[in-house]
Amino acid sequence: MRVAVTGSTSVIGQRLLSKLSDSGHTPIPFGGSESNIWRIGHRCPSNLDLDALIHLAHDRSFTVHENIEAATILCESFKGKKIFLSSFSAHSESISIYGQSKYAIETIFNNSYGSSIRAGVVYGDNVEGIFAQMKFLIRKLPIVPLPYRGSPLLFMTHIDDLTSEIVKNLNKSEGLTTFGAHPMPISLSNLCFQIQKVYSLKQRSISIWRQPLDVSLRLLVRFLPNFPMVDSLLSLSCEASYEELSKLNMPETIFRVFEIN
Amino acid sequence: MEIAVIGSGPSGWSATRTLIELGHAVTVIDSGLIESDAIRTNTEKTSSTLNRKLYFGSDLPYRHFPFGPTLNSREVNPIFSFARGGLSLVWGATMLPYCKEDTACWSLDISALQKNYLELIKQIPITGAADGLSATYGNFYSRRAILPSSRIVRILEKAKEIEFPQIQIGLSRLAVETGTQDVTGCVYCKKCLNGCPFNFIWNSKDLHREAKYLKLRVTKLIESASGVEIDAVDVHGKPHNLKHFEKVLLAAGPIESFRILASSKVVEGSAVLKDSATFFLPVLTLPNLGNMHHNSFGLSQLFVRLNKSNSQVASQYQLYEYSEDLVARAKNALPLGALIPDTILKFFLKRMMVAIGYLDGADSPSIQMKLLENGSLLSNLELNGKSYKDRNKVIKTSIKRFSKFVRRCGLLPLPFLTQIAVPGEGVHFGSWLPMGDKSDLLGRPIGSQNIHVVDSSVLPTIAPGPITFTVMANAMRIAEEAVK
Repeated sequence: MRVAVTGSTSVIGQRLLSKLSDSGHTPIPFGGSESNIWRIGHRCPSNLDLDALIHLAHDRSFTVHENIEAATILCESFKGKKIFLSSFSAHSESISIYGQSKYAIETIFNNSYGSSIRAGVVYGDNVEGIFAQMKFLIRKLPIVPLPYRGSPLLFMTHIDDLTSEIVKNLNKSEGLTTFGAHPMPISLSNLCFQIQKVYSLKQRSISIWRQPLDVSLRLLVRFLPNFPMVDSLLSLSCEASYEELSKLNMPETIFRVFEIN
Repeated sequence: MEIAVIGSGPSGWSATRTLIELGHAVTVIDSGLIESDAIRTNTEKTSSTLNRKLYFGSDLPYRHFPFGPTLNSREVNPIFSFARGGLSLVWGATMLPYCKEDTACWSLDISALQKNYLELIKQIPITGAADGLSATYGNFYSRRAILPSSRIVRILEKAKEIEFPQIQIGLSRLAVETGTQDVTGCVYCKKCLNGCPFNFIWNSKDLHREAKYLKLRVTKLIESASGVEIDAVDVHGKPHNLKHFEKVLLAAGPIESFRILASSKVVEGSAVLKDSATFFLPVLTLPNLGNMHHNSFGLSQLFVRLNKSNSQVASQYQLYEYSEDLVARAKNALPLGALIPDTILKFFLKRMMVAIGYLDGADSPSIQMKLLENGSLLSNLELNGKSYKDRNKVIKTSIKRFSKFVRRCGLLPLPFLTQIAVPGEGVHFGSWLPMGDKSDLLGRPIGSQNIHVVDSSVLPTIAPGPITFTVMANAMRIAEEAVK
């Protein structure tokens, strides 16, 4: 199968490319700054004779509307099997730009011969994204603020589990959204402790109430809309609702429990 | 082989299924009402602990059978079912096997049941995850766990950091569908305690199509060299005589099984029914666990097992999240509760959870069963509570030990609000005809050849916590070996 992968220069993209060629497919990388074939917002090239398309690319500097428009163009220009990498922060009540745009794109893909996989916080060695940003924040901050009253729950996904689930989904029916994380969530404060423990970081942490943290993040994202890290933190703090998770498709694979090493 | 199974609860279901798979002709005799027979009501109340499942047809077990038993009972409140599917229509769906400690005095090796446990998880959806309970109980589950509430996740995270000897904590094992590739599962509507509107909580109501079903109530078994004859009556009181069963598997529940066997003179006219003492313990959650998550489920979320240690008895606690029917319960329980506005009650109750504790059957009050000589054909039982002098002391020490542990996980038990159920209300009873003592390992009362008792009557011990899984596994084992 000839499979195009957008966002192929990311860590998940690179891992996916090697996984695809391991399982006998022909991966065709799209994207990256030096790539002249495809960028976010472009049409899918029609001369490549593709069987499937995996859409990983996401531009955090885009607004929700721009993201939706780019996804619509991509969907209209390619009529075959499509898979979209969504996120747990994507749900109807999401407040972050990231979550809102992922949720909208998911609907577009599922309605046009596509399926989506909602991944949790992706971890593993050398992972970018929210997990890496949290690691960065914990390293840089002199005192780590931890949400005290009811820190949000996070679902964790190992990068290898995620990529193999994507490859498996190439043969599955369309219009489905799959739940792609270990079913047992962990709390944000526990994740921070784990990161501190594993990288033997010895900062002091203070417990703060969750509500002020949420409010300040919401204010920040309103005034600094082009600052992606604030939006990532906001998308972490809005939990996926259980009612919505229950509607999702549960894969046979039981994803591995969160353990960083 | 022509075999009769009496009763359609979990043990009857398990035995019937096994026999059909082995290719035998099975007749199920059950007096139970089925949904079309019953007029649903949601006003009927027969018990303080199980008055909740009244909305979706699950009130059937509490409805009076037209000629149901009138018990002379004092200080006991055993819960009966006269419905197809037995008590599995109203249960809390907890499915935990017995551990090594629970079966220490058994003459049967617990490993004999392992393969039946494994067979059952293929047939019944059981949720669970690898956690603190796995080492003691094994991993007997076939579905992912129902997503626990956020407070429960934080309790488990805290518990992981604490080293506490002889205490295990883990997610509850429940017979609930959480979804596979083909079927959807729990939708977190939180109506569990009223009966699942989507039928995701497993029950044994749907009997196997291959089995013949007779709606009769058994009065007597007559054993002869050629097989077993059954005397029964139908709904209108008309007697029936069923002949030529090579074997009879009795799965009617411990009280009904005793009545049938004692009336048939197979066992003596009196017996002691062991019961697991049950108590209700409100627990305050400390602020660092966060607020109640708006979406979760209503069945028990967490199991805490306190093992036997030098001076303390084994007990098990099941933790329930806040749910709406706690408000009505609190109104009944509190002095002048009816006068307190709902909003104020809810404010406090949302900061609380409920723990239900179970003691070992050996350390609990029991029930004395006696067959009355002069009683009528079906109403001839007398049940009396048999007190256990150390009951309150045992419960007190158990709560003390539990508090010591959960306080470090962010919970504060309120022992002064403890309510202790009268024997029988907890529905974990049986063991009046223990295997290896009053019956053989195939559940046959001494002197009998073709009558096998397969329900909780024959368990040698009543463990703290759920017993259904072991009852079903044992019924399966007996059914397999009885027809060999």
